[in-house]
Amino acid sequence: MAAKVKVQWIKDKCPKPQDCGKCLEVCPSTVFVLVATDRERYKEPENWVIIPSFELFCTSCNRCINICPNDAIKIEIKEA
Amino acid sequence: MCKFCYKHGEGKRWYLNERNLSVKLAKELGYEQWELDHWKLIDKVYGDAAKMLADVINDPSLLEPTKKMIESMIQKDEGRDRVFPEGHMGQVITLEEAKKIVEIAGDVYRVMCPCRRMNRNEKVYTCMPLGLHGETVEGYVDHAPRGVERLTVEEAKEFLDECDEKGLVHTIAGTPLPLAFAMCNCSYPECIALRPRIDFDIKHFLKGHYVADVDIDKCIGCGKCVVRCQFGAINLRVTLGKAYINQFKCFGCGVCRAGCPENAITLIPRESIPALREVW
Repeated sequence: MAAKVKVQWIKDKCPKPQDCGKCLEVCPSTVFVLVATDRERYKEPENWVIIPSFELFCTSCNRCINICPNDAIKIEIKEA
Repeated sequence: MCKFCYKHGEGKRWYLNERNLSVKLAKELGYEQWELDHWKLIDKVYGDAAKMLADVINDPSLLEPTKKMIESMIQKDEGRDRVFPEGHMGQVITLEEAKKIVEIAGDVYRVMCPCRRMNRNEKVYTCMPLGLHGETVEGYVDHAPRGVERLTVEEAKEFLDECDEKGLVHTIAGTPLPLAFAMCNCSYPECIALRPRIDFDIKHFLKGHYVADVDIDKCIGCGKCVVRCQFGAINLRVTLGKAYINQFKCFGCGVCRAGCPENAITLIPRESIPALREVW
């Protein structure tokens, strides 16, 4: 099961992943994980990131790239 | 009887023992701070851990040793804590057992499912923390936008029925054993407990105490159970027009049973089948 695909999420291009989350919805392999990095009690978290944790299962179907309104996802195919 | 129930169940299943569902035990073990940290860091820990695990598993030669290492950390007997519990981190339960837990615990809450939020950005209320775990969600505005929502026993049972109808798997989480801290209505692959179990076969999360069985005479081969099974355990023999259950793959959740129009599926105790007794 060698990785053939590298998925990258570019933070600068995706300002509010928590309000969009379209890449998470369309992914057939559930590659992405949405994480709040500054969650505190009695405070709405503001800093959210998307981690392509399960890029191992990415089939490079490009659904996330096509649906992303900000071009924030890049998929690189590595030659094994 | 399973060894965890033998040790912690006082003659019952470990999660049906009143003591293990109580706020008292959680406080005795000193888990107030852990509960708060859990709500704070759940998605971060999962995101990072999954990434690390996936990186390791990229190399096929490291897969087996890594799995063994994780399992030995979880299964150690001494010095248990919430990160490395003793034995396992929870298991699948049936609808009847879930209702019994509600009756015994009495202290049931409902919050937004953090797993579905982090994996699909989907805001559904299916997570049912018990006791102290439910109380401590107060103030985590993105987990509980409606505030702390406490369910009565009747409401909770009705809600469990609803989830069963939809085809969600009931699970009980316990870290460390024997404290049962949350009951969830899960689905693969969003669930952060079921996904590592199914995708990487790490036995941190166990199957239930029951397995499903089809009455071949009653089965009409409609295939509804096949669609509902989250674990790929049921297979429809098209030519025979009957459903067959692979009991080695079955987790015993009973979701297929709820969808069967002919009531052809029953749940039978795992202990009653010698070959499955030790298949967790």
